[in-house]
Amino acid sequence: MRAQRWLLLASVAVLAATPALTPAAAQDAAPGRFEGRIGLLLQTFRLLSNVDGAFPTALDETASGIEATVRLRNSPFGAEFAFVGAQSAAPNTGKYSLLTLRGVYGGDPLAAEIAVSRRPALNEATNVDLDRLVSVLAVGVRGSTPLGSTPVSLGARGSVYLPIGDEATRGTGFDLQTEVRWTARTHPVGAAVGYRFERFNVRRAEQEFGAVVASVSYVFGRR
Amino acid sequence: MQLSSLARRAAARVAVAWLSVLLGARAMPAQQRSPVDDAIAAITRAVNDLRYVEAIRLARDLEPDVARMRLAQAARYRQVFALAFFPEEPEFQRPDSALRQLQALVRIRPDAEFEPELKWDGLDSLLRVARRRTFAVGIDAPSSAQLAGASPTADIAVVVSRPARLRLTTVHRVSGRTFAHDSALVTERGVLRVRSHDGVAAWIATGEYDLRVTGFDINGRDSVVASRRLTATATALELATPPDFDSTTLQAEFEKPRRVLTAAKGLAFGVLTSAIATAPRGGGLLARFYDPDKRAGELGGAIVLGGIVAAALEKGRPVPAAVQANDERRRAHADRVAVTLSENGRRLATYRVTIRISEEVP
Repeated sequence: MRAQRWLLLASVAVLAATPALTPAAAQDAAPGRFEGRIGLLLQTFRLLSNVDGAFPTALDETASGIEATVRLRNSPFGAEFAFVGAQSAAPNTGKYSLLTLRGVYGGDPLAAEIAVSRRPALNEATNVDLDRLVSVLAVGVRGSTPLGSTPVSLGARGSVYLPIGDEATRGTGFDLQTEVRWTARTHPVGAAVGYRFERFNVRRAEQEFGAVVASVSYVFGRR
Repeated sequence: MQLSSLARRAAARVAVAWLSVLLGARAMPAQQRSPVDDAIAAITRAVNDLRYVEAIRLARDLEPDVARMRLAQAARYRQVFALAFFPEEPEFQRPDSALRQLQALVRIRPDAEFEPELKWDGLDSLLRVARRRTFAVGIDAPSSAQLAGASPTADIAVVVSRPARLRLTTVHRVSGRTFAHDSALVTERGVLRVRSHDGVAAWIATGEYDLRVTGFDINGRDSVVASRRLTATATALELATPPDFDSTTLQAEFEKPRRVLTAAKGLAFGVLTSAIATAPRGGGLLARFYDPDKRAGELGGAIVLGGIVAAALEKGRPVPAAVQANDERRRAHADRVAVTLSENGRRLATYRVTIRISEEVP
């Protein structure tokens, strides 16, 4: 929890400082070689778990974190990073932290992506403890389209989890996500809100994850 | 006591009249007296001889000619006429008629004062009343001026009977074309400027104009116009006409709004958001024990609503190529206009106009 607080504090500091450190003239005239965004994430999620022979359980939490995307200008390749974490208030539940690294090929309106992540999951024996880690290699596609002439775009993504890692951490499943993203025309800021659903199996447990995901970001390198 | 005062004034008038005759006789060879001057002198003599009824008759005979009088003549005529209506002798005083003449005097000369040989206290106070009751603008223009060079202006002095916002315009007598030259807030006296051009086009060329000063009472209750005839003689000037910009050839900078598509996108993504919390779920105990996440449905509904709003606000997406092409066309046109205006400015710099402003009061 302590590390997470520091991370959040650092994220806020970076977000606050970045526009000031980037002269407006430089943003307009010479945006540089990279473009992307860096922002804060908030997830309000419900994690459901079911093991044969036991009653299913649900864990409701709110996690926060940081996300960043970057790509070379005019390059089809991009990279994304996201981290969210939460300390459950429930006793013995443990810490929730999800780290994702993603590579992207393509842009608007369609792109392919591949991601590796280590995501927490509920213990298949107790259905309560968040002490299982699932190694995920996700392969998928994403698309986005502008909503008319507004500064809003609609996006959707989906990926399949390929089994990697050892028996204990190997997970299979899929995720689906939609997103409404607003990017200000006059200022380098943006915000997004969406819904994410995951369904995966780890060991004998079937788990479902549903979350409303919101973010605010600083947008850099935009022409 | 009163008779003695009248006698003194009569003696003073006779002395002033003789002095005028003597001075007039000396000035006669250089300055021709006009019939109007003679007529006004006759009225003055009648007043001085206490023949007020005759003075009034003579003044009335002259009234049709007021429009052709010079400003000084008209002012003198009104003064003498007022004095004929309001002499010192009470039995001959007709203050209402005198006040009408004084108001007419104030209209052409808001700052008029009685000439020494005509004034007396009662008439002065009547003049003050006339000033209070009359909103007037007077023009004290030079009889001629030359307008040339980079600052081609001439000063027109103005006087007002009460604070007013003034506007100076010229109106071409044939074409009716009007130019607003200057404006100012004047409390008593001020200066307005008439200009021959504005650096782009000639405002005054050879021809006849009405020089008009329009006054608006600062309380907004009254307005008045004073005018003079302006005759201009100008050097030749031919200005090039700046090219017109044909906006009909511009490309559309926005695509046609696609409202149905926008609304359909909102609907599709809203339904998708709602569906991903429901359709991909497993059919086991999880689905039996826990309902689908309602928040996804709410978010999906909001997206559908947002799509409808976006469709309503849709104005079409910009077409960058068309915007760029139009900008280039506008720039090219601006360059052509600038070249034309520069050439016109060079020609206007050597433009000379001589104006003569009449003293006649229309």
